[in-house]
Amino acid sequence: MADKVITSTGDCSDCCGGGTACSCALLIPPQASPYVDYAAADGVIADPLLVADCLAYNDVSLDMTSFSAAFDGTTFTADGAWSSAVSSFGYVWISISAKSGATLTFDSTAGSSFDGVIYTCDGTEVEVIGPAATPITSAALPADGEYYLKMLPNDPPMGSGPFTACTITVTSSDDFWVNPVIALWDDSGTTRQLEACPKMLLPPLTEAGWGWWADCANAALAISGQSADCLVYNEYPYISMSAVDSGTGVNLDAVMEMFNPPIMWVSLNLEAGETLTAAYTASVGAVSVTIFDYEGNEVETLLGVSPLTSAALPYTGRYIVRATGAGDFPVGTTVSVDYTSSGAISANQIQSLYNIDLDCPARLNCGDSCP
Amino acid sequence: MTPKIITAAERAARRKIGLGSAIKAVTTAIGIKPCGGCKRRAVALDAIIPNINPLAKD
Repeated sequence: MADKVITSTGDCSDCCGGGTACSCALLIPPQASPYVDYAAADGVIADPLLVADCLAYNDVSLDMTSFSAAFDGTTFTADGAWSSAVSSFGYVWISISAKSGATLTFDSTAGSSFDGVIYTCDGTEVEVIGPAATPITSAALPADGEYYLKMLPNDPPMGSGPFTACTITVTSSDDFWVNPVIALWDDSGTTRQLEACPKMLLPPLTEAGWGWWADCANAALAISGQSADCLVYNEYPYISMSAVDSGTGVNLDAVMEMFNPPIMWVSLNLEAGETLTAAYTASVGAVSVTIFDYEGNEVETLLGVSPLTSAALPYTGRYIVRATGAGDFPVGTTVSVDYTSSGAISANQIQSLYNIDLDCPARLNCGDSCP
Repeated sequence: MTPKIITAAERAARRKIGLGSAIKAVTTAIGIKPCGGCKRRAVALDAIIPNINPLAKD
């Protein structure tokens, strides 16, 4: 059995029950070696004609003017537009989690033919779709799990003619979810992840297997009841809390309810070689700060008198940072933590992961409503 | 009110119970203590029919 893989997109250690570990993410480049370095990965992730809305990857952007993707809980949609007529979309890739026995239906608004392939997450071909006119419905999926979909609306000779816009839709006969895009890159022999849309994932350290919320209502409750400004999550009840990303630092303030220690979580984007500094004030006790990587592994814990400063950080990307108040809290504690770095720093928005009985979690962004 | 978490083990239990484990759960529930042979049978049956979903809609 393959080693378990826990990624920043959630604990999928029980994914793909056959023993293959899946990532609950579309890992790009699909079915290929990681990008040669961070710059290459970032160049693709940052190109809106190649990666759309955290959800889809398109491998050809020639003459393309826009590429967008959306998933509303039941239908995945990808839209492409070109400055001159083309005879095919690029290959559009998405990763979905879906149920055994479900059938997928593919549709497109342009091109007289549609080619597609359904793969398991490890690249094993499950079914070739088409070439045929849309809509096309797949055979029943063989197991619960994560699948990669490769889709190509196109116009063969004697077809309906080239097109300048095309919309692809994918639906399932049962519940499914579209997973986020993550680029893999080679950091001198270590494969790193660069997320298309880094988030502060809830529950805290879900990356390390600490579960998901039981359902969307609970996911929403975690955001509405224990988070502030879509940036900070507190494990215990508070009277007030706020978070501000100024562009040069991230400030957290909280007034805790009696007997409740402040345990405040944020997710920060930081760069390799930088140091993170946490300057704090607390009405009671002291504050410790623990830095975790995007897989939920502890990088460093900072203890002592404010300000606390980390060692040089090991990679460029998303970190998870916890500030914990230490001491007795017979009265409400007021605590403030200012994060700054020796380079770039920014905070990620909260995204709450929840169970819908798929191998991968469903996702609720702060500010959104349950589907 | 604290939001409720479901762990990976709970998710697996909700979704997948093999035939052997399903029989074991029923017999244990009615007071029959699993013996060594019963456990081996449960493992064998789980291998043959590994996925019974007691929460299936149909």
